[in-house]
Amino acid sequence: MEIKFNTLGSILKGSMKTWLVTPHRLLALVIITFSFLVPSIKLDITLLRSITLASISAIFAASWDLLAGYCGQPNFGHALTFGLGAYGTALLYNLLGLSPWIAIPVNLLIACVISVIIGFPFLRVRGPYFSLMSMVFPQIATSIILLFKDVTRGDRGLPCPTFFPFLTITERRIAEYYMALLFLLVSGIIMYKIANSLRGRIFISILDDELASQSCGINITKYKMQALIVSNCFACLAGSLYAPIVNLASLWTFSLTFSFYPVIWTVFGGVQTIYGAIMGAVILETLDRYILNVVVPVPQEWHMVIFSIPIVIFIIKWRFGLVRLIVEKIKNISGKTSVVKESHGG
Amino acid sequence: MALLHTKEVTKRFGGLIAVNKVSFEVEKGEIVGVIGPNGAGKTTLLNLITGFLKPDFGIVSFDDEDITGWKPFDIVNRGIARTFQIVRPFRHLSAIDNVMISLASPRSKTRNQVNSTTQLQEVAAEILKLVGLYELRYESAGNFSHGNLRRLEIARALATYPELLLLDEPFSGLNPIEIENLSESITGLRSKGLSLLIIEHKLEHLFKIVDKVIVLHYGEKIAEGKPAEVVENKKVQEVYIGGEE
Repeated sequence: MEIKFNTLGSILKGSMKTWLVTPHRLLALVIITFSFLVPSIKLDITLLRSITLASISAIFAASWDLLAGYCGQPNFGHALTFGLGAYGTALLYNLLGLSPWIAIPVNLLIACVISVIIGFPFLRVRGPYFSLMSMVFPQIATSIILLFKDVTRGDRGLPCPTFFPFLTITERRIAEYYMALLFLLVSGIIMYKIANSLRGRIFISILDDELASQSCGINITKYKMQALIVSNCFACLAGSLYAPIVNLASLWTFSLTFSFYPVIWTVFGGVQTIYGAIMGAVILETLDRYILNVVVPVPQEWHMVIFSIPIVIFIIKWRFGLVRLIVEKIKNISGKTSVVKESHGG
Repeated sequence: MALLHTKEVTKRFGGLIAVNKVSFEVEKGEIVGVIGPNGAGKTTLLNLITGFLKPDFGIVSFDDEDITGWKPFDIVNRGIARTFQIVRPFRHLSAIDNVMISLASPRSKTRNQVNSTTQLQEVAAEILKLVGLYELRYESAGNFSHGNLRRLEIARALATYPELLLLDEPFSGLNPIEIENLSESITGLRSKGLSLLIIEHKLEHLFKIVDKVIVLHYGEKIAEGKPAEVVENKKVQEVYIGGEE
């Protein structure tokens, strides 16, 4: 026998919820509009290129947040699928002469297959063991690249064709700028929607307590696999955009250091938010690529030193992230009381 | 035929036999209590039934189906729900979202026939009303009191539409009034056709609501019967007078 619950009642109330213009939504709208207007305000190629690359980094960071911040699987080898996208595009061009546009769906398909293959051993381990294990895969990829030097050119990197071969350099940079922004906007919305759907809540339940999640009848392996696939696909998309824009697929995209970048960006912006990861990546990347290079030139070696100090302070003082803190403040002003909770951290 | 049937279920942890050849039955619509001193193997027995541990030996069958060694979520979707001795809420989620997780299980989906999130939220709110958490439904579980977390655990278990509900020390950490309320809810659930298996230390409260009691001692079942009979049992008296109660 089952217990019957009265599902009727105030369904009307729910449908009467309207799309209110709240300050934080307005802020998002202003940022998006402004970013699309940047080229017409000031045609600075270096700035455009910085934001272009920052946008790609933002997709990468958000995809890390979806797996780590929501599903509780801190992947410290996230560069694997980014590098896969970059090398996939370059190899498809060099071996088969395929355009980087066609390479994107092909790469995504490969990323799905790879996710499923590595997912089976990968998702059985938990917590720190997961993180340790995740670091292995980019190293394996690096070894493979070095092993097949004839095809991959080893550590010299593989040249990659541009998305817009028919345009002049300036036009190309503007086109790439809009393209990166559009991809970020669409990817960001998709990931944000997933994160805030029922599926996203199931991911959070796995992060909070795997046993309790199972006792709710949830097949946690299935959902972890879904999170891994989606996360890897967006990382792969970021890689597939990155290589044609910098015209190179390099070993850097598989490096351990690069795997830690999305962690830093996300923790800075706010774990378990998606928008925090995006804004964190955009802010730190623009700082790194533009402000510290053009506005206040500082030698590249000093960038990490300059970043590390505020990042350490942020992690200690505001573990839930800078951008998240700001957004929660704005939400509070708008009257929607929302409590900033301590997050599980990176 | 009984709803739940365990046959000589045994579990060893190294040299320690935590549960030793325990056989018992839970009939449809019955409330069964499991008592015993600390370390008697009560929680282990519950973990063996719900698939969180695999028995070394023996059979667990539910509704005439052998469910021994099934995965925990498959057992939940078969109709056995549980709560934990130490509450395990999803602290990042609101009360309503905690219940929504259970409503997303395959079993709940087929029972509900509801697709939109708004409608699911309505169902979740109804379940929260049942355990008295309706007013706090948008509150984050991270801010809940211990008593409310216990209710939330039960709400989450109920949202999987179980036929058998296993409660692991539901009264621990609750004050007498809260225990009274919870007891009422439990008997209310039984009257709706649910069967329950309750592990509890607070015997005076447990005995008021159960039909049958099973006494475990060092992993073995030493007595079974109505509360009044069990209290008269010599072995049980030895265990409890020699024990801490």
